[in-house]
This record gives sequence, C-alpha cells and structure tokens, in this order.
Amino acid sequence: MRRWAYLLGLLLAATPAALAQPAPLEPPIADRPVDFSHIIGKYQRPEQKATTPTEVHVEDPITVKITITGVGPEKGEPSRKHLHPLFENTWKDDFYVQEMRDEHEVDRAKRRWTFVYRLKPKHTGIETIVGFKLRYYDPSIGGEMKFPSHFARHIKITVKPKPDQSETFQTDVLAAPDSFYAPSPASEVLSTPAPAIVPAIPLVLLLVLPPLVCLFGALAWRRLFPDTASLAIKHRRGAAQRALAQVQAPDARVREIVCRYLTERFDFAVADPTPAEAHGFLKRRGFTISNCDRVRAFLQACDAARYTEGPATPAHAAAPLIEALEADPCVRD
Amino acid sequence: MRARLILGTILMLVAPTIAAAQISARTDAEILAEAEAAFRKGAENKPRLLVANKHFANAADRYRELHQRGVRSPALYLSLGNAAVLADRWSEAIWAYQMGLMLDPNHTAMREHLAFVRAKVIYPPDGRGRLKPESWPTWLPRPSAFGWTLLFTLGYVLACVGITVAIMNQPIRATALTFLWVVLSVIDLPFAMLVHQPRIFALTALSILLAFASGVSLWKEDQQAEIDRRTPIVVVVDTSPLLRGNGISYEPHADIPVLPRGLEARLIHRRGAWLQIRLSTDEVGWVHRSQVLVVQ
Repeated sequence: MRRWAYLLGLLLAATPAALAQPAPLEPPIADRPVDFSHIIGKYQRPEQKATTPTEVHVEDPITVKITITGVGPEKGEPSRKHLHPLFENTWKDDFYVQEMRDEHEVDRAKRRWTFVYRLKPKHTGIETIVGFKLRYYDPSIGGEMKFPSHFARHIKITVKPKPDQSETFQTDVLAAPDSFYAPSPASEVLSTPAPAIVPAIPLVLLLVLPPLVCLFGALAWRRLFPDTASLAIKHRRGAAQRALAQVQAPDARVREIVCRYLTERFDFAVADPTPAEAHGFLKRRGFTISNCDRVRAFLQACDAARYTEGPATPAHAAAPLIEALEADPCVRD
Repeated sequence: MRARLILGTILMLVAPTIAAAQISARTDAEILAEAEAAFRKGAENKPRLLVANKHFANAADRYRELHQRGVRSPALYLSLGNAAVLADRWSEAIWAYQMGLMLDPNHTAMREHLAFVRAKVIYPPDGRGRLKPESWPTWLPRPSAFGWTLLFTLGYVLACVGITVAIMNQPIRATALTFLWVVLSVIDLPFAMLVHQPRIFALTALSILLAFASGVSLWKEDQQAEIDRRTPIVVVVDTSPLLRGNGISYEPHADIPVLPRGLEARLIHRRGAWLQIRLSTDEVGWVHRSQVLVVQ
C-alpha cells in the first residue's frame, strides 16, 4: 500500500513538467499518412475554384485555383514540392494535369498560398473536379487526430464530346508524292500474271538444241554450198570413175586416159610422162613398189605399141591398174 | 409443335451460313470497285487529312480483302501499298510492295515507293536492323528469272553460231579429225579467229560473255528465290518487343529490345503463334505472329 502511494506521488509530480514542454515541430514518423502534405500548423479548409468556364469539350482546359490559408511555423508552410504530387494524384485519372508554376502565389502577410493548375478532361464521364484533400500536422493535437484533413469543395463541370472537325480540318502538308494518288487500272489488278518459271525440260532442250542445230546446219551448208577445196576433192574423187568409164570405149587411147587420171587424181604435173618419170612420182607419193612397177610396165607397153611394131596397146590392163592404184593404202580423199 | 421446334433449330443453324454466303457472294470486281471508289474519295479529300485517311484506310482494307481472296498481281499490291501509305499504315505498305516485287522485281514505281516508305522507319541509333543498301543500280532494269533466261538463250545461241562459223572457216577435214588435232584446233580457234575473223571473234566473245553473265544472274536469282522461300521477309506492323524466347515471360533482347514499326527481318522458325526472326544485322529473337506480316 505504501509502495502504490509512492508511485502515485511520483506520477503527480512528473505530469505538469511533461505538459509544460513545447510540442515537437517535426511530424512523427509513426502514424504519418501517405497523403501527408508536409504542412505543419493550423490550416483551414482549402478553397478550390475554377477560373474558366466549367462547361467544356473533352481535352479543353479548365483552370483551377487552390488556396490554402492557415498559420504555422515557417518550416511547415505549404510548398509546391510536396503538394504537386498530391494534386496530380487527385486528378490524374480523369484529367491531363498541367501545373501553371508562373501563376502560383504566396502571400505570407495574409498567410495564404495559391496554386494554379490547368486540367483537361480525358472523357465525357466526368461530372466534378474532385476537391483536394489537405492533410497536415497539427502539433497542438495529440493522439490519433494529430494529422487532421480538410476537403476542398468539388467543382461541378460538364464535359461534352469533342466536336468532329475532320470535315473542316485542312492541311497544306502532303507527305506522299503525287504518284501515290494514282490507283492501278482495274484490268491489271484482277489479272494474275503467269509465273515466269522456265521448266527443266525446255531448259535442257535449250542447252542441247543450239549446238546440234549449228552442227547439222554447218553440214547442210557445206553440202549445199561447197567451197573450192571441196569441189577439188570431189573432182579428184571422180577421176577414177571417169577414167574407168573412158577405158571401156572400143577405140580408147588408154595411155592418155591413164596419164590424165594421174594428173587429176594425184596432181601429177607432167602431161606426157615417161615410164621412169611416172614410176618416180608414184614412189615419192608413197605408193607400193609393185604398183609403181605396174604403172611403169603399163606405160612401157603403151610406148612399145606406139613407137614400134610390137603388140597392141594393153587396153584391158588399164582398168585393173586404176583399181589397183585406188586400192593403194597411201591413197586418201 | 415438334415440327416448329425442328424448323426453328434448322433456321438457327442455317441462317448464319446464308448470311455469310451473301457477304462472300460479292465478286472480286465488286470489291475492287469499292476499293477504287474509296481511293478516289480519299484522293478528292486530299487536303482534309483525317477524312482522306479514313477513305484510304477503307480502300486498303478492300484491296487486302482481294489479296485474301487469292488475287495476286503487281497492280493490286501497288494500289494496296499506296492506299496503306496514305492511310498512315506504312508498315503494311512495305509488306504490300514486297509482295508486289516478288511478282515483278522490275517494277520501277513499286521500288521507288518502297524506298520512300522505308525512309519512314525509325531504326535504333546504333543502326541495328537497318537494311543494307541496294547493290543494283536504280536506273538499270532488273530482269526477272524469265528475262535472264531469254538473255542467256540469246547469248548462248549467238555464241554457238559464232563458234560454228569460225569452225567452218577453219581448214578442218572430216577425215583428219583425230582427238589431238581437235584439241589443238579448239585451243587454236580463238587465236585464229582473232587474226583472221576479228568481227566474228568480237561477236562470239560478247555472246559468250552475255551467256555467262546472264547464267550467273539466273543462278543467283534462283538462290535468292530459295532464300525467300525458306526464310521469307517479315515486316513489323507496330512497335513490338523482341524477346529471347517464344513467350512473354522471356526477357527482351539485350541489344535491340524493341523493334521499330516497319522493320524488315527474315523469318527463320515458327513455333505456335511465335516466330523466330533474324534481323539484317544478325540479331535473332522472337516476336508474336500478330505483330508481323509475312511476305509469302
């Protein structure tokens, strides 16, 4: 019992001293609300009013003035640094918020702070500009009410749809050149072009045909229009046939026929050769010795018949002689 | 009662089909007429930008409908591209011009318009995804595969004729054709032609050159067509993220996290609704199918 009396005495002695201490200027961290404006003192309900018409179209501006009046230490005066985020949070869902910093006013003599904002409504469903909630710290109030709040009055507004000005809106700036304004002809739009793909078979033919055509063309050309060399070859090839035909005649002069044959067929330059000359020529051309001897013997027999009273000209030996010469391995063309 | 119920059910089932059939009963010519009318209205309202945009967008939609119905012509894609550009849907225009150039690579107007629209693409500052400049001179006609084939044919035939004429003028005899002789003749032929038949030599050399150049071009064209078939071009319709994997849970690409509108890339793989693409600067990533238009 004595102990309780002692404690009560101590409490009674300490309470006046505690009450006499000045209230702390720093707002307490504990219980500080998220929308605290960092204003300290005693402040009145903020005044919020529109200074421009409140019947607007979407995205038309409305100027709003918020006036805060009250008393408090200099450290806890209203400042845009802390208030701007709060203003913005209040309206940002419905408005594009633009701070008019040049138009803010501070009148310390009258303890009045004025903040000016330009709000542009985002849609037609807005009926009011929500009143700003001022939450400040009052050091003279203790307990749970030390962060009192005042709401500014809502401002009634009317938001109308934005007028359609597309019919009257004109511009001189044309981004695209004139060629973009020319549509394609209808006939071309609906005509699907055939795919320009070369199939494999015609491609192979294309590679093979030109050389073949050129080859056969060249051969045909040569046959139709033979050159001098070809004609000479042809004439030379025909020499044997002509000689064989001539020697079949009854009064054929076989020596002349054989000599002409040698001239036409083998380019033998001597018109009336001796047997030795003919033998030597054929030997140089590469004829076999037997054929060379055979020609010499034939010419000697002809000469004998021509200059002496010997046997008749060996006409029957001319044809086999020509055939033997034609069959000689050294004869080409 | 039962009969009415059955009739009602049948009508409910059939009615949407009939309606759809009526909508699709429009002919290509009718849709084209609508598109042209909208295009004309847009051109008439040229100074009134918003009105013109609306009409051009309508025209572009109609042309696109023709594309969806299977119409394929360079003229259609030129008109679609023009309408899309004028409707400020220029990424779609890039796609349309690319489609048209697949059909007609030598379409000068389409190439010029494509270059104009490509200039609108805002590439990242470091140039990633930027296309390499065209190597083909703009003033030079660009033959198609068919054109290259014709040029090759011309060069090949002329070369064959030239060589044949040269051989015919050489002293070649059929009986003297041995292998070595033929080889020596072939080696000697150009020199003999140059000395004895300079005109034929020049013509033949030019023809061989033409055949060779057009053959190489044809081969390259074929290679390009194969590349286009395997990895078609995709055009980014709207600014969209480039992800590391085929899902939104994957991180964006480290080098180029966002693809600009109108960027062109190559499609290298498909997986569901996601496409793996490769940019011209070799970055690889994934985009959603709805974000791109495939040139195919």
